[in-house]
Amino acid sequence: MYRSIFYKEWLKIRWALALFLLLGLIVLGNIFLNVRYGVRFMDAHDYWYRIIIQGANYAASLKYIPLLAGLGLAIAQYFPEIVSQRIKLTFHLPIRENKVLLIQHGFGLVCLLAVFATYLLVFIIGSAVYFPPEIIHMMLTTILPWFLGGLAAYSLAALIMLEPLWLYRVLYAVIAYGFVTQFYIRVVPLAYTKVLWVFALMAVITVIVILFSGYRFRKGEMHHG
Amino acid sequence: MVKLSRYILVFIGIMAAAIAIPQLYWTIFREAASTPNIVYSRVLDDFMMIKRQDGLLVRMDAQGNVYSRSDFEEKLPLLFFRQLYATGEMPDTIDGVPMNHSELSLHSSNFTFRPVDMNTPRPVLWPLLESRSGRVGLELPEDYFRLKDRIEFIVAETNSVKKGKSRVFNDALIAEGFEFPARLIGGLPTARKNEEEGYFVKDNSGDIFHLMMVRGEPFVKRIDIPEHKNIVHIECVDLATREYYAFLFTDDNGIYLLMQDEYRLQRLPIKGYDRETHRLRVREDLLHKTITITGDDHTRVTVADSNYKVIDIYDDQWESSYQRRDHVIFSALFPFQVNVLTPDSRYVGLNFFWPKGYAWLLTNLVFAGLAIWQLKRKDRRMRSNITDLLIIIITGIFGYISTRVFPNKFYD
Amino acid sequence: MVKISRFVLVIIGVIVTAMAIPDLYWTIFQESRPVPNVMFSHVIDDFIIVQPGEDGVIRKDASGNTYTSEEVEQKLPLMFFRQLAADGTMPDSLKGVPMDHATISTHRGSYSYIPRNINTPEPVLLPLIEAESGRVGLSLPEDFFRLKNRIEFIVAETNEVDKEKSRIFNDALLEKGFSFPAQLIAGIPTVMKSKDEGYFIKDDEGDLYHLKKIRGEPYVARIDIPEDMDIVFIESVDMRTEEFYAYLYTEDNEVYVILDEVYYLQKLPVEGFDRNRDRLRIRHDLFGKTISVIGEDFMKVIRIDDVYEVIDTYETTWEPRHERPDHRMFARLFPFEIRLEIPDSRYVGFFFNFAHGYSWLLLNLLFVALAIWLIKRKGRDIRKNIPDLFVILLAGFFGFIATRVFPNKFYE
Repeated sequence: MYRSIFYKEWLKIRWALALFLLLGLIVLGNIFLNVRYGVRFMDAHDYWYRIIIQGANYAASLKYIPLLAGLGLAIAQYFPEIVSQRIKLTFHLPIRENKVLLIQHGFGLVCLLAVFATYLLVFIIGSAVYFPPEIIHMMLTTILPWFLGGLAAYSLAALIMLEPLWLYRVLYAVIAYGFVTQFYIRVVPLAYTKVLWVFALMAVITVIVILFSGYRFRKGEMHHG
Repeated sequence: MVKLSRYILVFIGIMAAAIAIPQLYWTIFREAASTPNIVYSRVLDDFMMIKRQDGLLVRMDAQGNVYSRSDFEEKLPLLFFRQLYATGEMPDTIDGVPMNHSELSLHSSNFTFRPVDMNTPRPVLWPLLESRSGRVGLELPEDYFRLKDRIEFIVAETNSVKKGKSRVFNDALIAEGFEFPARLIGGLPTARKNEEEGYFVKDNSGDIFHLMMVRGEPFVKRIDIPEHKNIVHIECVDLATREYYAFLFTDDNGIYLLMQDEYRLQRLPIKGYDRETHRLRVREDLLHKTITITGDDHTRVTVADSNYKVIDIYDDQWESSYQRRDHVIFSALFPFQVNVLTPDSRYVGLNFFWPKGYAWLLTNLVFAGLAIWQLKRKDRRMRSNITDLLIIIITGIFGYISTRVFPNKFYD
Repeated sequence: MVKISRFVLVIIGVIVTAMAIPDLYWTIFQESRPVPNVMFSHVIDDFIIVQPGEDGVIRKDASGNTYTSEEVEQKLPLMFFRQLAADGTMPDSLKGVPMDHATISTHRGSYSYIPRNINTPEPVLLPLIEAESGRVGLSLPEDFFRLKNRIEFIVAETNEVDKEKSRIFNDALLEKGFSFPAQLIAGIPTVMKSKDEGYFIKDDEGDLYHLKKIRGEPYVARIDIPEDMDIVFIESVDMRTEEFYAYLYTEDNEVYVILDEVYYLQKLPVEGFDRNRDRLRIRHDLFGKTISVIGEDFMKVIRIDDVYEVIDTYETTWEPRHERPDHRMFARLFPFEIRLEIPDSRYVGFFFNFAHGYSWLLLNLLFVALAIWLIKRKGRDIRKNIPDLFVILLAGFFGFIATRVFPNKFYE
């Protein structure tokens, strides 16, 4: 039973996943080409100085990629559901509706995590060629909030799309914007160090929010009013 | 119509590819180029230089002798006086002129002017600081002025025009013979300088005016410029010696100094300067002025005395960027490159870079051949694809990619 | 499950509104309260206080006499010597000491401490700059070091450890009794300073060491500190007079300076200073120092001479922040605010600012009443909405909005 749900979701999201995987890899490739260029053309120790002491961020172009991936995946996965109100069919399956929704969303989340894990792996390996662990660790504390923001955006975008009433969609979007932007504050390196766990928790608990609008959608909110 | 829309897309695709792919190429393959740093040694009465050879810095003179760092600095006391004073090796006099740390420091200056400094958007409004406040240290005023058909001062806090002040300054300009609208303006719009010398403005008839605010009142002075000289750029400086106000660049690639107080034009004794492609550097020390003009594959260093009489000239050549290996390979791969930003300008534009030679034609033909093979394989008509093939022959890899991304598939 | 989902959303809503709405409030209503500027005058041997106020700037001394701006400058020759020299009113000598510009200038400086300095991420690696190169001007080394369980130098170009250099420096540290890992390290990791004094390092046992690189060799000195001193923060300074290396802060909120060469810890008379809350402003001149401790609602200024003896003190207080009109109104509207960034830290965190007092309860109760009315109007059961009302009671406006945006509507 689960397998058919997984397969259905996979059919919907595979191209979006491939697109974002490719996009992220291209951006990462560009980042490391520029690092290589920087190390070669500036004296390496001047380049390191800019990064360690002056806070230059060689990964800056990656900033909004996880966010776009989260949003894009949510659209790929949930837009078909609401357009043709197809999700109602899902609810005729012999499993409890909440469970189905959670399984669907969980599957998408795992796929998104896989894409993010790939980005991180490439990033760490690429950085390890040029930089010592201290710099890599510093960069990870800078880029992890971006990934966490992408996860939160995925769940919140799903929430917004499944909400039947436009007024509430807009309200959710305003709240979601205020929430997700906190993952992308422009700060000095290592500034997020003290709250990484809290932000990770925040990103994880947003997974469950989809149940709320899924419920409202199911119960035909517009008919009950 | 559909075909037209496809060609528009193909064109956009070519532009995008011609921006991105060459950029990628240069990021991977660009080789470092370094220009030699050439200075004049009064001690040797000859030129000395620092060059990068095989990744190492080499210090030598014009005869080819190599120097250690300390020997090199010893031969250039006017330049390295700080180091020599610190080690006690600074001579007391040079050619009979007594050496003194503060005098040496006062007369040391460095001015660099690149094409990008000229091709830069100008501020839309300017601050006119008080020139003689009686206070040490300059302060930004509370208003900014615009200078087009009239001069107007706008108060920042209220965003409204200061009519009285504007009228007084406007009258002063007209009284001196200023012809609106202003064509050019040069100055240093900052409080971080030694003195406020106001602005130099070129009016509609090509004359230059000096505009300052002295104790709140306008100071306007018309400067005599020879009739035939068309000034295209004014770059002001803040010299500690207050020897001259600014560099004036003329249409015919002349460079003049606008001497302080007397407003005399002193021509720089250099030839062959092209302001669109050369980098100009004017280095001054206690006894000389060294003017360096650097291009893609050559440099000319002119040393003059304090009266701008030429003492000596040095020329040097090296491999042009067009001859370097990274360019040669580029020219074999790409017929051109499109740049939205170039190093020579702060304006965004569509700049085309044409590599030297036609080696890329071969590559283009290869891509055309590839395209033909693909057509044959899919069993399509050559005739409907002639335009595409032409595009590929001219634009090479960019056209090839673009025509694949936007395929020439039309159904009847 | 769905209810939990809604609950999570309400929490998110409260957090977001508790960040955004107070932010908007402060943007509109925040008043600025500049802190007085207190300086010591050697001419009148008293403090001069400059306080910007609503009706202009008040300039007075500690006895209450008022001054004009020019008079203040006259009374502070060591501060305004350039202006006084330009005006011709600079005294030839003060307290028997001839007023020589170079000496005045070298002895002039200031230091400022704010709590944010202690809440700032440290660089992950540091450059150990050559302290005695024989050259004027410092240059960055080609390696960076880490200090964990051993000291290791990593060459930037190759990203590899320089094993030999690391071993030499490591042995030098161990020889002097250094106990890894280091708890604290402080220095000035830039070449923009007059000389390099390396780093001060606190080892695992709380002892203090000084590490420098002199002609390539390690210089390590162990500094005598009291047995029970717990150093929490060190801030290095670059003093041209070479009086002391750094400011040292202890757990008990004592502040010391580490005197140059002799490494003597000189205590500063800053009783009442709390490093997590208060600011320090230290101005030094030819004759001593003026130390200002600035708290939330008080300022204590201590003047010390060149042997750190207290000569005079000045104190003033003002209304604490929570009594200001803008804060009072805030406390009536909002029970708290959440900020991710605060002025006292460069770290991102969840900072809760609870309003002073309970005046917000009234507004909260109004919102609760409003919510109850809305529930009744729609004919719903109050009992099912108790948790919501509770949230509104505590979180006021934020809770009200959050519970409206994510409505408590569940069907049977």
